[in-house]
Amino acid sequence: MNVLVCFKVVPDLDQLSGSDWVVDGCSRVETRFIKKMINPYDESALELALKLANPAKVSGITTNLSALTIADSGANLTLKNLRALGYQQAVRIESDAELDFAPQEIAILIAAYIRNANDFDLIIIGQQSGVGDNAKTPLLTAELMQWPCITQVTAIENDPAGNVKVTSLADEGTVTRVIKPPCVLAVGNAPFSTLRVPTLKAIKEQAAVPIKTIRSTEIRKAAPNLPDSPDAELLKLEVVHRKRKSMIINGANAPEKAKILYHSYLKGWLADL
Amino acid sequence: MSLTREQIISALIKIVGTDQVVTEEEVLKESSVDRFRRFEELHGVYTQPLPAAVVYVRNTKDVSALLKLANEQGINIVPRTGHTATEGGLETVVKNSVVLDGSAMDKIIKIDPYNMQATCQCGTPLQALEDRLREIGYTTGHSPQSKPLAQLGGLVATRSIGQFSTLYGGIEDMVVGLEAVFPNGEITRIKNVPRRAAGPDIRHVIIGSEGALCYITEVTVKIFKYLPENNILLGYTLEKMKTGFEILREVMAEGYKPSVARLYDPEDGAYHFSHFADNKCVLIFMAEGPKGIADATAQAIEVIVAKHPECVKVDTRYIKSWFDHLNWDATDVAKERAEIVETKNIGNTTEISANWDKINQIYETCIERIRNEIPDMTLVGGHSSHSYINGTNLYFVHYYNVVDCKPEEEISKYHWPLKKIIVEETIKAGGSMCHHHGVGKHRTPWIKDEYGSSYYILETLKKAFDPEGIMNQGTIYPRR
Amino acid sequence: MNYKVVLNGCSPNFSNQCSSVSAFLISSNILDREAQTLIFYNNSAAKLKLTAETPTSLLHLIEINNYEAETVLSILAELEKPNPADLYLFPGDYAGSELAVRFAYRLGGSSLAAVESLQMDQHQIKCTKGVYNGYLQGTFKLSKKPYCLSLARGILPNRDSQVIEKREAVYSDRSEERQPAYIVKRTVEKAESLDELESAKFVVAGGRGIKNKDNYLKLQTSASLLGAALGVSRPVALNGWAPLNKLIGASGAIINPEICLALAVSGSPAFFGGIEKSRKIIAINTDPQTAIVNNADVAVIDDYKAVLDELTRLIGEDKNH
Repeated sequence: MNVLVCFKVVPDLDQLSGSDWVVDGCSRVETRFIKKMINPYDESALELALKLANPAKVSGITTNLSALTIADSGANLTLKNLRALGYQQAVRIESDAELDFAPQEIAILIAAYIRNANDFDLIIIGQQSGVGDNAKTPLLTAELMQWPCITQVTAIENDPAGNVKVTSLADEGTVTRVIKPPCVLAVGNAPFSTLRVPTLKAIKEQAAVPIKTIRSTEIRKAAPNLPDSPDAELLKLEVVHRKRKSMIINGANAPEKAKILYHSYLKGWLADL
Repeated sequence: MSLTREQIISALIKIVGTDQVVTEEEVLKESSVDRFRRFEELHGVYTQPLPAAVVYVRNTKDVSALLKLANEQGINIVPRTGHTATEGGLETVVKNSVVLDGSAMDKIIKIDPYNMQATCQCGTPLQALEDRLREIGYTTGHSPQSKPLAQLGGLVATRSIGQFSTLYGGIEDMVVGLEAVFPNGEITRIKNVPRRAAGPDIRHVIIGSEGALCYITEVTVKIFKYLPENNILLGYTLEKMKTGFEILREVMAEGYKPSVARLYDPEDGAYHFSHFADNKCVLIFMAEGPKGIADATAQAIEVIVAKHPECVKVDTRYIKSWFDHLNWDATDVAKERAEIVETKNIGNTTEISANWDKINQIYETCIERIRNEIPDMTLVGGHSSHSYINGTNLYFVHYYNVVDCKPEEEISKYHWPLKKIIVEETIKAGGSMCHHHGVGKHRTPWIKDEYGSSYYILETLKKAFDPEGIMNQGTIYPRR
Repeated sequence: MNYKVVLNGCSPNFSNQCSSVSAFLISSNILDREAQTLIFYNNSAAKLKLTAETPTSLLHLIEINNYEAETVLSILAELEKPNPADLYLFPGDYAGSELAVRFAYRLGGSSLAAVESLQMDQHQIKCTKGVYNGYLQGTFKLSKKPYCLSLARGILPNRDSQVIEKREAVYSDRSEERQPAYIVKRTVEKAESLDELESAKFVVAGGRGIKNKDNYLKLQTSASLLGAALGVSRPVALNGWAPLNKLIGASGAIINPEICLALAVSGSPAFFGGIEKSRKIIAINTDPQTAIVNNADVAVIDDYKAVLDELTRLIGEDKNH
């Protein structure tokens, strides 16, 4: 089975301090200077795919893993690490466009890549990622490919006969589906999905293998019949101001602070319930 | 005749009352280890004998009475405050030990801006003191990564050091006086004066004693004007660690005192700097203090660095973002714990120091040997973060995947062999095997090599002050 | 500009879907009782109940076998394609968030997820939503009709909503529609929904600082002693310390209790968005610098366990008197 996981390296926005949140009209917040991380939902997607591939080796089913990102060369480090973890292909699409708020463009590039490769069974993507918070990429990818899609995925397992067992959250509870690929899986809050860490030995073995890089224009040319679909345009960004001003309770120790908290605040509030 | 567990507990209760004596199993388990054994701990495996109790002391008198009891009855005492030790110093290796926890003695006794000093009880969190001082325009100048969690007693007991040490010094340069209690119950106070020449400096018997000689109950440290508006951050990328060491040496030798002088290799730096360093070494300085001095220091550093064309200056905003997230708080600890359990990937550190002419050789040899000899490594790198006129430190960072072994075998399979390489190579080159985490229990096998002929002095301190050997057995001194 | 509302009648949260869409229509000032609501349902015995709370008076109830996005999408596209409305509104639950985007694509329209507010005139619509992990709010213009919006979660019921006197419903039966071909087998395990958290008056929320599963279990006991519902932040659920249905925040429950006691949570916007509608927020955290402390009404800087133990004792004492 051939699995493609799409991921994005994003700025760790919690690293920005209050004064860094400066916006002016629709100009972007400066995030260049803060640490990057793999978008947490994508990190889960990458790990779920590794979990799917590894026992498969034991059971005789070969799972071929590919990782794809649309990014500048800053993402190469992550791609190399993914190769060291067992991703056979690690591919980067280079685009000059501003993509934070352009999920349809991202989905078009992903779909173009899938069509070109023409041998993927499963596409696994985190359901949403920071900065844009668009929550559309996996859905639009499924539509462009005319494949089914399962959202809020929490676990993926092999099932006999080339099928895949997918667990996901739905409004009515936990749904388990045994499916016949192809399918797009949008990963939600998946427990136990922190990405494993590659060993130096594995990284070294992969060091010489170059990361495959494709220009976005090339890939679009290669799959010309995909639609252009400008969708929503960002007009303005504003900082969200939170209004509460906290009263800090002072006391000699925890029990004393608890007493003050209870008698001065909580007791009255509880009485109003 | 040694007392039974029950007898010990009732004797403790007799002195301090039931409220201060905790014997809940979960607390005892957690108190039998420190960060050195956190892999075992995270897997619910406790290999050390559980202490009989954890006693939360309220005052110096409590400490005195409890130590006296322990001394008379041969009960092993493990002194503790913030519980952030990394080298096993807080492990209870002796059956029915008693952990004396000073974290409830957390009063800031006096801040004296005129004499530029502050006095605190041992359980005062450094962060609490620092926050209070900053409100009135002062700072301790002490900023270890554990600042949000560590407390003053422990910081002094382990000879801790902070990220601004190149200007302010280590804790030994900050402590002006102390109160400590010795095993026989003797309460000793060293007064707070600018300097003395009345015999040896006995503060140093206490500073760094790691609970193996006495119990620190009160600490007075220097304070400094806090002038963050004058801070100037400088950052560079460069190819070789060797060049970086040369620059650090020149800055120190020329007599400049930046507060921060740090050199990261690409592997260690990757976590913080991979978004701009592109697999290069990173050199960081911060000049601080009165504006004239800060400006002059920064200018001089720029001139020194400019002599090395491989150094490329980076936008200060990258360095500022790093600087804003220096410390290690409770959230980081919790995050790390969860990640270790899920990925079986764990990281530790070993810090050493050496003279300028040896440091690069130690760095290269250790990195090379670890790469070749230790299995399943995922990261090995290091940084220099504290420089002196005659040398600098190296902080080795080593991460590995724990593969094919039980949680309780993690230390013998990975951590210990790693430490052994670094410690032995350092001692062989004439450096010191401990720069600022203390000896704890896991570097005692090399303590005699570390000291050489001067071990006589160290050994005699133990014989003199803790003849019954009740103070934190197995720490600094190999277990008898 | 005319609009339709699309709801999932198979979901146990149907009533929340109705109230949040109603509130959104009122706050956007586009309440049109003559607009149509489409409801997919699979339990014909309960269909009368479904018509009781709808945001509009004209209803189209479509019976299906069970809720599968692929089936619902194709029926919806087939029904609407000949004569689409200008605007479609979907609730912000899992089903609605998916449907809005995919349906828009199928009709050649444009979509936006997790919309907080809407402004429209004859020619265009502008919406706001949280971006940058909730640190910022963005205003967007949608370009092509039909505009398909899924709402942000946690839009609170509006007290002024007028009562609809009379509803008119038409029914279609599509229950014969077969399960999508790609599904070999399907099982549903009904979980305790997030409703308990979302309707609680007093919620205790635990963050990463609770450190482990044992502490979570202890927290459960303390919360029940306090008479509070218990929720957790994302790391706590993802570390497996707590079940996913206890998750509070952008990707979990959006709560609006009278009191929220936030223990050892850092308070990133993604989590804070889940509790910010609480009337009173109390934070207990060892770190005074953490965001939650600044965003709470009252904060205690200390170990949550010690404070909570004393609070439970005090409350217990008062109960016994």
